[in-house]
Amino acid sequence: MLAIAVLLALTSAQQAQSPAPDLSDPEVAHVAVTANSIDIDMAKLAQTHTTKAAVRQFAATMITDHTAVNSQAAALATKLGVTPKDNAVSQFLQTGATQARTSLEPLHGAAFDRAYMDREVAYHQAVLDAIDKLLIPTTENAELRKLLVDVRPAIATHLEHAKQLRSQLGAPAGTGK
Amino acid sequence: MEFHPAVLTAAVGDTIVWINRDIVPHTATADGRTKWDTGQLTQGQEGRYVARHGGVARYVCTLHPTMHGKLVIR
Repeated sequence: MLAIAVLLALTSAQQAQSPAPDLSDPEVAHVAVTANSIDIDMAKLAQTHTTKAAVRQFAATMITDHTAVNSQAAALATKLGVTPKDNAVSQFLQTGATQARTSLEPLHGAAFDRAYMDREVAYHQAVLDAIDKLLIPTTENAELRKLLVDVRPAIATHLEHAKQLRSQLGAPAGTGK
Repeated sequence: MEFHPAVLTAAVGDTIVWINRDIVPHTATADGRTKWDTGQLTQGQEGRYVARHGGVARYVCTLHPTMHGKLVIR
């Protein structure tokens, strides 16, 4: 939930200052690669902490898909001669990921599954919002913008998959096993 | 992400071809009694299935279980 709050807060703060958020294309590329890498790392954590086949399968799909997207992003960055540049949005995402990891790491089994899937629902919603409200509007290069547009359906599908799986896991995270 | 078209009508003996136009990998995998599976198709790859029996065959992408498709074989 923190990632959502932080991202939306940042988006609205930037919009308050100027009509268009002003990330440069190298910064957009960095946000994209960071967002994918964070979800790959979280999925790897899930694979060592879950005992549920459906959660393991979800995590495997996250690794496969976000790796594929990062390969495309890297290839495009090379083609365009863009070096991804660290920035405030990437850092917010990274801070949120570190906090999520700290809270997920001690959990196992059903408690881990619920907390992990809660995080995945919130994270993919936050990334979708960032794509729509921040990244696509601010990107100048047409090919980089097209990559964001092409990636969006995968993120939306991950969100639906995560919601569906989360609803099968029962009680809210933190209410016992 | 979805199968286009979501419902495809074909004849017995037809070969059905799936082409992955997406960035991420997909499968077309039978969800019924008759088992068939394209396996993982990466961007641009094709998978094939020859319809040998009439009837309705539902299928999914095993990587993305929210993706569903249906073959109507006449």
